[in-house]
Amino acid sequence: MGTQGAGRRVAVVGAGQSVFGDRPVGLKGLFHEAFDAMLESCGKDFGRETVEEAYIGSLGFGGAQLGNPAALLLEHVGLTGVPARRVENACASSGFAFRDAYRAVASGAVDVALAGGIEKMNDLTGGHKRYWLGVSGDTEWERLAGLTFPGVYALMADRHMHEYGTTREHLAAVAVKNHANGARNMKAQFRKEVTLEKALSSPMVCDPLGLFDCCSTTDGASAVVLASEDVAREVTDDPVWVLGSGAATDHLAIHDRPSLTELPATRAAFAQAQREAKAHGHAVGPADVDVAEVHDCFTIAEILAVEDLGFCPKGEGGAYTASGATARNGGDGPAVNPSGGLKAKGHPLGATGTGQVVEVVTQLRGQADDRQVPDARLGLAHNVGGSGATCTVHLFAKEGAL
Amino acid sequence: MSAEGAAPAQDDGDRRTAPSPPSPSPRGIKGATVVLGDVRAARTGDRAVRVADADEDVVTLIVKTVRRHLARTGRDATAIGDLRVVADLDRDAQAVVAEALGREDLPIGLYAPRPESTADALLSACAAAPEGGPVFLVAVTDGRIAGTRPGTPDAAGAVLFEVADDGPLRLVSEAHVREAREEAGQTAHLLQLALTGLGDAGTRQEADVRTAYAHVDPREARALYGREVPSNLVSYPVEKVGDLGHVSCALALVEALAGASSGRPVDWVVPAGRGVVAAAFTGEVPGDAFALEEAYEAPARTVDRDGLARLASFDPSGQGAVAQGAFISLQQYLAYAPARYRLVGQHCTACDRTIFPPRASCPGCAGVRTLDAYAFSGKGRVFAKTRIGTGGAPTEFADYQAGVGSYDAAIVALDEGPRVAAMLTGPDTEGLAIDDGVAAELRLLFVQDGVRRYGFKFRRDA
Repeated sequence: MGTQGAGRRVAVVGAGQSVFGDRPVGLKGLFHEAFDAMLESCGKDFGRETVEEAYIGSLGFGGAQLGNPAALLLEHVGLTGVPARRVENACASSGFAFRDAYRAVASGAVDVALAGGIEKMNDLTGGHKRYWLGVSGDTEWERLAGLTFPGVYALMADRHMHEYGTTREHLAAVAVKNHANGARNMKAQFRKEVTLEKALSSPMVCDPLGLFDCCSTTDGASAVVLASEDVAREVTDDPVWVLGSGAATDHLAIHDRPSLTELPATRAAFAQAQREAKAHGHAVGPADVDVAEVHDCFTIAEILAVEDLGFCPKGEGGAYTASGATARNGGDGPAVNPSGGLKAKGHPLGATGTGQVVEVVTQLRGQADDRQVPDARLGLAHNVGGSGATCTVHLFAKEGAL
Repeated sequence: MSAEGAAPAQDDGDRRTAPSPPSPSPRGIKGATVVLGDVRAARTGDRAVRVADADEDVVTLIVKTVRRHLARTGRDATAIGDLRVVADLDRDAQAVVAEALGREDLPIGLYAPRPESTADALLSACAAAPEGGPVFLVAVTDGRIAGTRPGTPDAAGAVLFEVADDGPLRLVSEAHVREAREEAGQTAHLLQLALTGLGDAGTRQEADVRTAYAHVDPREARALYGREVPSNLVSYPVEKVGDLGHVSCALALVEALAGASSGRPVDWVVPAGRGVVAAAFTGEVPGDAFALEEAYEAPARTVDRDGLARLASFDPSGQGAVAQGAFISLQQYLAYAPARYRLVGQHCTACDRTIFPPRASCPGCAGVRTLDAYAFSGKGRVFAKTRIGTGGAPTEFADYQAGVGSYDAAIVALDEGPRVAAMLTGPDTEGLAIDDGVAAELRLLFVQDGVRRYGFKFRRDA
């Protein structure tokens, strides 16, 4: 299995994101906002000229700059000349961008690497938006069965309900929790709480998923800088350590998978991240996680995630969430999606993966203000592409936590 | 066109042919299968029409009818000698039909869909000297052609006649009368001439004759008959199915044959665009040769007038479609034509796994040279289901959804093992639940750049 985990220690030294939502700015302006927020989060000026490699996740922002966007965006923030590329793995694009940057530093190839992501969706017409969302499923079979992503996740929900008795109330509990968290996040798209009744009475999109079971694809950018241990000590007083990186792929079409009620890629990616953490000397189990940003593109997706990550047994994710176990404050389990998640913070496809890292880093640094998870020491970011065809899981620890 | 030994039609003064000799045709009708549209739509009064669902067209109706006929008679597509179709069918559509039946070599003959074409085609098939396998003659309409009654919705349906050397129902006489001039009573007069042209029609007992009329309005049919309507008159069942245009006369004949006493003649009179075609058949009628009631009773979705208007608003011509989907080129699409049209997947000889859709390696054992083509039965069960709300369709299906509104999609677990994603179609898709039985059917999926893309959907298994 290669030498994974045997690499150098790597820290996130800066992490920032733009406000997510309907943003009447261009791609460059959006990325600039995230980059500035990242610089500010370092506390010191780490020196942008030290970035040696850059990875920018994006699905394609409506095709506006499908070719060469990484060079364009880096040039805009003063990083002309840095080897950069766009990383594309659907909604897990910047999860994979982060992984690539991490491995570049861990391997010793570079000391400082940038990972980021960007997407603009709100300026697309309805037809174009569906087009850009629809290109990430199995276009030849799944899509030509009339299925969109809401449809695909609805099929998973239908099956989860059938096999485990999950209810629409369980699904809605995810939305209620994440909106409550998003209401406290100044960079979230939706900063309003919703009631269970309102979530349940929203218009049906794809039965059994209603409008409040679906996240909003939106505009946003995020940026993270990773550094080797030596460099990290120099440029920040508050490094957040990457304990392990895991990633996996799976059948693109859900009909090819043995089960509709689990994402094997989530399990495989988490297991790999755990192995890597262990190689670094840290045994991390689900119960050790204090704060988790998981990929809740649909409410059922969060239920699958908390099960597949082992926070609760398979099939119990709905009741587990509805019990308040994953609430930001006071639950028995880890705080899940304290940022509001994709559901309330918004889902700028390619910017979501590093956006999750931004939240985990902010939480572990204790800088999350109103939405701070108490005593957050160990964090997890879980990013999914499509309906589980691609996935990354990263584990993080606060300085001094281990 | 005419029976062997018969004099050709003459265009003389009274516009009638010489009577045919009573010797039976060399080939005869062996059976027939009727398929009607999937939607029962209310029309004025208590009449209902069986119209095509938005995803049904001439191609899918032909394929459905041929498959059903083969299934009823326990054979596969190799049994077809040649296929003759009374419909407009361009080369692309012919290729889809041949591929969907798994017979790329299948000769397809075409008759333009005019009122007299179905009769001409059937008499021609019966009159042909024995050669090759059985002729499958399909008269079909999807109701989207200009109807005989503009402004009213046309019904959709197909009638398949199998004509073969051992077909028991032989053509014993035929007559063609062409309209000479316009005057009152002209058509009734022509009708009388045609009946006389059937040779012994005047000599046999009227009560022994089963007479089939093809006309869409029974009152007009009676007027045409020109005398007291005999109790054995079978007119085209417009009340049951609506206006089927050039398919009407075929359905009238099947009605008459299905109700005929064995060994007694059946007269068939077809008011045609330019006159009247008349024919008489006789022979032993096999009891199971005509599954007419099954076709009438086949479940159909019922829609009201608004529903009918929405169905009609779906324009499968593709004029409104924008090539904005995740563009799957036609070449890429047709690379999987056997899988899309007739569920041909794979079987792994190494691990005995069945695979669908086809791929380069076995998902079970990763074997790459162990995969044989394998035809799935198309039978399966709903594994998971969702209803795609308005506006939730992929761009390819935006036009379809604009017509039909919300639609259902599912993961279907095929009886042989693999699962497939597919749309549900036909009546009562909303009532389908997990574990309910479904069967695959060829349907029009979407239109891109003016090209119709066909593929499987699933419907409730009867």
